[in-house]
Amino acid sequence: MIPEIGHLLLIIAAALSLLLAVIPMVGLYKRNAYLISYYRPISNMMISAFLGAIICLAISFISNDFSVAYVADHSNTQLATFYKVAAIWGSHEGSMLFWVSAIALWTVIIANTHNNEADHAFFIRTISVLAAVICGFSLFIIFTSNPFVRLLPNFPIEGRDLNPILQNIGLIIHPPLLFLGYVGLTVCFAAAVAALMGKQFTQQHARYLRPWAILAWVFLTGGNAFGSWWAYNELGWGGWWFWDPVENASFIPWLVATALVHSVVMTGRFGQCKKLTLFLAILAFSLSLLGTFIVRSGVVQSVHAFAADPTRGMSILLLLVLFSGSALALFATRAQYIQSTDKFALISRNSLILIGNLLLVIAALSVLLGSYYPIIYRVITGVTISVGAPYFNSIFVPILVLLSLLMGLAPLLRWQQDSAKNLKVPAFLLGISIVLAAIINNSFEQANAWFFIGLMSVTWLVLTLIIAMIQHQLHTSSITQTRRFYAMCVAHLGVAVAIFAGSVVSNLEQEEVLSMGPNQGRTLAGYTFVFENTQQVSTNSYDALQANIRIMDEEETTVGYAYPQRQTFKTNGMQMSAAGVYSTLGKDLYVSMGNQLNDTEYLVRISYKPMVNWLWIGAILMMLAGVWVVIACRDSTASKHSPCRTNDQKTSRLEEATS
Amino acid sequence: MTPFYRMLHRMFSPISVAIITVLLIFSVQNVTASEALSHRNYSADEKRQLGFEIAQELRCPASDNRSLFDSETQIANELKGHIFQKLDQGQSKQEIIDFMVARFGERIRYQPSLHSGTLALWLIPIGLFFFTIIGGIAWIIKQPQTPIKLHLNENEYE
Repeated sequence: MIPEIGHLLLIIAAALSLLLAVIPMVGLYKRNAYLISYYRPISNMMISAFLGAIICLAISFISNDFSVAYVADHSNTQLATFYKVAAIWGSHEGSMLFWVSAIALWTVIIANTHNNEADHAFFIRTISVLAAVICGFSLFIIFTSNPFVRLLPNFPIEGRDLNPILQNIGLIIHPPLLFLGYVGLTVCFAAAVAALMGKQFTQQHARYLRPWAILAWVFLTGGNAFGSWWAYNELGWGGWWFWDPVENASFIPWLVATALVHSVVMTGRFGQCKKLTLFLAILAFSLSLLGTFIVRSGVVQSVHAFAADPTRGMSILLLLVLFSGSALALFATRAQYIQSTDKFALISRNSLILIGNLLLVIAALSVLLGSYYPIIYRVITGVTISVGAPYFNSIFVPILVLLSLLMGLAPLLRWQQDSAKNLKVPAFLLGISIVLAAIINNSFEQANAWFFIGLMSVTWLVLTLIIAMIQHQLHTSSITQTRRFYAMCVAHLGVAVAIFAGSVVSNLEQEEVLSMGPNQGRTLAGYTFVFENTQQVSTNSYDALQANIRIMDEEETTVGYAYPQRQTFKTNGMQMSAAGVYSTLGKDLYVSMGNQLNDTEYLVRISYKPMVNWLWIGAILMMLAGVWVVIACRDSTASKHSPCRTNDQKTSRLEEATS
Repeated sequence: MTPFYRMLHRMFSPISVAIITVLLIFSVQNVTASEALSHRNYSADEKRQLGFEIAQELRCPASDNRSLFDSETQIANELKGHIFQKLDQGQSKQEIIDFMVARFGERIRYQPSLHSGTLALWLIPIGLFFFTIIGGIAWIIKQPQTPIKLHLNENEYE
């Protein structure tokens, strides 16, 4: 009964989203305020239906209703309750339901906080476009990936298991973060389409868009970073980024979202680069759909493919073509009406940000090309090739270095126009950072050109940030401006920290693969790893053979233990290795246990990974900066550039409410 | 335009260019040193480093998307053994990779070889790069350069 109610609610929600997409638009067209005013009740009903459907699915999971195919496939009576709840979004059908409900939730927030006196038509259009996207997704869920399909009459008594790799705290956090990021990009997409429909994209619109873009970026940052942390700890090979097609599928939208955030700031502040902002909003959403298609259709081979099914690919592709195609067509026909005041000098912060945005897009397109080139190549020639980490590093790292040069220089220059003589200080700083990087690089025996450019980017970023802060302090500015400036500094510092960690861990990492048995030891990077013994460990879902490995420093004092495991899952017999990590701020000592070689010995991989945790600390800094900007830096100075001064108080209140 | 050239001129004054070149060569020489490991008798350290490097650049034929180094499948372990055997025989990195490609096809190589079919992988990013950067700068310069009124009460560094 419960699944049928859920199913019905899902269909009702789809129908309501269709109404929401059509009725207010008809009202706008006919100038009928009565029809338009339906947007709020309909969206409230729609979110209730979606929430009801999710609750029904949750009840099915918790009550072990294995007549529901989705529950039978991803849960069993042994599974811990919070994994049952997490399993709602752990696989394809449920994650799509979660995604579309999140879009609905955002739509409702916009609908209910929106203030009638602001640009009414723009908001109504945004809501309608969002509803159209929801409608497309709902139909997709109902027809090709319905989580409420029953296995009747012969339903299983016990369910299958949730994929063992997914039974981790990572599953509870990582997918929702990414989906919320994608949802934020959907809002930006809808607003861009709404602006194109209305043939105007004002600074007010851009300022309204800014918190959404920043939030989307924050969630995407978190999703990517957390995914990387999860793979590092769980998959047992010690890599934090492998340029796997599935990793790239969420990294590409992140790159474009980064460009979007910068572009939307420029549009909000100066009314510049309006078309680029609109285009980036459409591009980011399209790339997130494309990524979903790639991940869910299984057209690429990936270590992270947990929910691939080729038959669904076509439907997602259809949605992609439908939404992106119509949005791009709209852009092509309406972009001429969007007037922007692009007046800035070559030597100015604006032009550097613009070039940086272009570089980010190039980076995104290059990663896109590398990720999917093997597919195209196979279709054309029939030969299978692989494009992997060495290729991506050789393309991405140079772009990243250029980006960090721009990132460092931009805050030192004035907006709009600066004189060439102000480039002296940055040139001097660049010299210092090159010298510093060369000195540091050459003090390590692993010194090489990659390490050098990584270090140079970091020293340059840090030096320029310091000077930029001093420069900022020497000039008066409002509190909001100051807060925003420091938020920018923290975000850029986060990038610098992540680059630093990335280049240190890739270049100074030390590794050893050896056979080890009880009471054997090995020294690596000044630490001695002693394999003490093995023991059997048992949890709810798996039995594991655990090695207790003592780690001692140079003075032979024990600093800690690492516990790598070979896990065998009870329900399906699947074997996995979970790494043991002894983690401190400055380094990780990473032990993973491989195959058994003889009665007592195992193939063991030990590595010394300096600074690896700072990768994620960098990401956290970026996220904090983003959240701070949204919460603490609301547009109280809107009056300065606003084209309609009378509405300022109201709009700023509106923005407060929505951000 | 002129201030831009003057700025470039200042930044690339002979002295600074000389310093940068020396430093770059200084730090790049280490790479060439490690590349030159193709001599025939590797020390144990070199062998390990080179073996790991090769295993990381090759794809395990049996698993979804893992390098030989990361994979634990039987074939991956055998191939890793092969790599070290060949290093013992004094073969170079290129020879070993060529052998693996001959045996398993292009698919095993994570860094695709450069030929007419894969040229686009490098040409498109480089082409895009020059196209957009030059286009972007040209676009900025082309904008009507009327003197820009700065908001005097505003902190332009914010």
